[in-house]
Amino acid sequence: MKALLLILTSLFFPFLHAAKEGDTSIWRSFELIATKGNVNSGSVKINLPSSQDGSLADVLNKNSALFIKYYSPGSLASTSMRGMGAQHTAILWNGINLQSCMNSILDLNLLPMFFLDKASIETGANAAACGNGAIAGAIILNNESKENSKVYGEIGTGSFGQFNFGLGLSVKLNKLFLNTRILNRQAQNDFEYYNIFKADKPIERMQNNQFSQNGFMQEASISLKSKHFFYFNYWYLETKRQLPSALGVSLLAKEHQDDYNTLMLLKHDYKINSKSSLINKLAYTSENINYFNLYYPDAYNAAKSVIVESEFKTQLNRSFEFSTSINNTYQKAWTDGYRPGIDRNLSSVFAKITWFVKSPKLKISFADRQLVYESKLAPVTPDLGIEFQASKSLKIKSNAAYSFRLPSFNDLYWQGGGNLNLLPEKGKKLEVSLEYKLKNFKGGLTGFFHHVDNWILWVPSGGASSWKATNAKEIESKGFEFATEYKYLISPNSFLKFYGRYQFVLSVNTDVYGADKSLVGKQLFYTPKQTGIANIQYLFGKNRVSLSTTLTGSRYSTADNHADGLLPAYSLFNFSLARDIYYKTFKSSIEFTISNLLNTNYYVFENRPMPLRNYQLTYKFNINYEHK
Amino acid sequence: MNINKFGCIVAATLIAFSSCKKDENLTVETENYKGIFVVNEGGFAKSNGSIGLYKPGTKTYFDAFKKANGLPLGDIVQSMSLIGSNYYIVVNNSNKIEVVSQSEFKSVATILTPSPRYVLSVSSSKAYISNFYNNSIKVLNLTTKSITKSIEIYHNSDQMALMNKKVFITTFDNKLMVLNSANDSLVDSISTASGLSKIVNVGTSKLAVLCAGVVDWNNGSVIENGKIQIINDSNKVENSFALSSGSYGGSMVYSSSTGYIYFSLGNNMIYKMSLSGVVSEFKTLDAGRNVYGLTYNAANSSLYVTDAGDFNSAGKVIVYDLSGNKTLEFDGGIAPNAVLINE
Repeated sequence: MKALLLILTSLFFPFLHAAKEGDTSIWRSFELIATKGNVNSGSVKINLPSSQDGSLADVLNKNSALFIKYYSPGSLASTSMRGMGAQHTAILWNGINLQSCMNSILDLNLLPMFFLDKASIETGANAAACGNGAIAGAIILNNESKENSKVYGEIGTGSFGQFNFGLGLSVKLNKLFLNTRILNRQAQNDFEYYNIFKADKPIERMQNNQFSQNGFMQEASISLKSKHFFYFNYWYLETKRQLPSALGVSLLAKEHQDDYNTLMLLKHDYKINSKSSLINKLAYTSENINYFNLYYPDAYNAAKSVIVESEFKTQLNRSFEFSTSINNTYQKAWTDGYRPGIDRNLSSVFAKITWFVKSPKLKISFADRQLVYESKLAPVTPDLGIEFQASKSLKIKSNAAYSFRLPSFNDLYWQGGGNLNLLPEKGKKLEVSLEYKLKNFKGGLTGFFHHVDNWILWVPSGGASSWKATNAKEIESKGFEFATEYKYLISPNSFLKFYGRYQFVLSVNTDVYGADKSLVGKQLFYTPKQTGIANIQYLFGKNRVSLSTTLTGSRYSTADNHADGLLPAYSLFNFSLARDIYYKTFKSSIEFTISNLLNTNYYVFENRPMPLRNYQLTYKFNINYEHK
Repeated sequence: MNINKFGCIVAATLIAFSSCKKDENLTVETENYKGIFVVNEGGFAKSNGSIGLYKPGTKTYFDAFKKANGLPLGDIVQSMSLIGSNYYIVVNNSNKIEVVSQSEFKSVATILTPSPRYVLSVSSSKAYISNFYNNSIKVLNLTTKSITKSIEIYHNSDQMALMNKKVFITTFDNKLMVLNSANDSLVDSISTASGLSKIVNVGTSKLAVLCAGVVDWNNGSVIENGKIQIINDSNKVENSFALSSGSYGGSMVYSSSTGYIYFSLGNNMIYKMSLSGVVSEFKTLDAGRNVYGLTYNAANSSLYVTDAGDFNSAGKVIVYDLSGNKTLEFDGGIAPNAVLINE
């Protein structure tokens, strides 16, 4: 098998055809290691290729070193960043935190990349900038008004009944810009797998695993007198999916779930003068999760939030920049655990000052946010970031911060286990990064240390038959991340691009708040110590060839790290061929992808088989036109 | 850097990522399958339930079903009964009963039936299967290993006890349903106290049922204390003894050698009760431990306590003699609820 890999890898190198830069392609190229635009000074930002199709979970899975926890394509997907839980990563959509107030997570498979223009990851605590929940880091999703008139879209098909369709129309009318997108994604997901619960491990097809999603997005913006910019964005997503059972579990329950998500943002950007601006935001989010099971009553859960934020930024002088904001977030949810509905109000004040020093070239920023909830003060979140340009090529960055996560509504109020006495989780971290950039090479090395106390878990309480949300333990997560990116120009029109990222993390319980201390020192379950990606692309002429691999290290499925629960490491290879087709203002591209090239039999979760080798064919187009 | 060096670096990286450990095939080894079997439910919907075997001589523990058959068992292993020369392993959320031989633990048959809980032998050729989501008791032909009949009992069912050819079945509605095992007919029902949970034979003509009481799901407070009730052969509640607390469930066994009922309400306390209703403390487990299951072994007059811990780590099996002395402790699998001794 390794020989085959060598051959495949070496296949890239004989091509020396004329080509042009891929940036003109609608397959937008991207920088893995972002050198600017961080939400937080001193932290590490990783860009994601937003031009890929599928969901945010798909793109994170194929392009980041994050461990994406999901048990089947299209299923509930969450992430483990720096060895911490899904509830510790904030998901910011155009600056609005989408973590659910019900359970503090967001299903990454619900967000289609077709509706997004830009996606990135910021590892490390971001509580000052992002507020509640960003203990491990943040995933930052944005829409960008490019303000040109075009028709664009994508259509794709693939193995086990995959079908994607997206269509967009943007219109520029004087100062008004409108952009509309619709999409449909569906899949049977009846992929083949080895049934290890049967003698001889026969190949069978996954059942009860259909997925379908319809979505609508409307953007509008208008500029007035060059000082006022109004921006509106609305998303509606309707997702229906069956929930497959683990191997060995009866299929009789026929579980399925319907999700309805609405996101809405109204933003006013006011340039007060050349140095100061005021940004006002009003946002509304809603989620309905309806769960069905033949054995139990239907479960209808809903949550809504209204966010109001005002941010003032000013350049005090050549050396200092100051920003401050106030935010009020109102959350309300209804579930079977608290049917009459529960609500709360989160109010916060944020301030940040940044000092730019010319010599030595230094940037120092300090930020803090104070949040008030239910007449209580949340833990403070001071955040100190330093960036030092040691030489033309070398930058040294460091960030130290406190962070927190409020208990979710389920943790607090669920009848039969909710605990009103829960304390917020408290986090602190320190990280140091070296970034080296020389011509076409970029490399980054980061060491990090995180400490989280009051970690909330549901544990057996008052006997083995009842469970209760508890501030159960203290954890430490430490490790390092390495990223590299290299572009090799073969000729003026052809180049090779390589990027890779690797993370090693020890995320262990340092204390357990109970009589049984046997879990102290154990690695958190479903937390691999090693994750990584490597990708090489060869672009020549209008063609692109890409081979990538992801590594997910072994991880325990049980809290006591028992050897019986050790899931083996796996690496997956994906191969794709793409070609651009241009005619005047018509740009299009067709791409053929083989996922899981080596037909690896792997499991993300215990007894949850994942697809073997599978194929996708995607066609994208973009027609620019002038509106008269 | 020239292109060849670049290629080497890339190839090395890709190959490094490919050199991960792959799935290992399970090996089937020879074993005499004597020792202490542990029924490990596993985590719900995780399919990691198992039957473990602890060998006191070598102090070793292993997954017996996987070792003998090369396969994992399934989801929520609820119970295991020895009937004739076979074990009947009930895998509740896999909707099946695995029948394995006593000597080699090899699979003899797989019986598919919805949400089974327990198998009770009622004659040399017939057994009853209770059902969690079905209002009927299934009749199993022990010779053909096939289900021959369903007996409507109008309630979901759980534990069963045989007394003088009548089968008494606990339900989740505070009713004991009574079947005539000779003709498979429903003959009676007995209302019990709240929280009907467990049933055991007390001698040859009486049964004891543990009713755990009522607990407020919102805050865990006990609304109604539990009771242990004695059922006589006339299908009547003969005695009802109030307990000092309540719970969501509990465990109970009877020792004919001491004449005590030993029970727990799911916390770290084990009590004993005489048949006249006098309750005293038998044993308090170490802090952090909880009783998830109790099994009594008459052969060595020992009480086997299982502790499920956090339901996501290996549970504990702790053995006490009837004086309350700990004689053995070992790790089981995920969520152990009972043991079965084959020595």
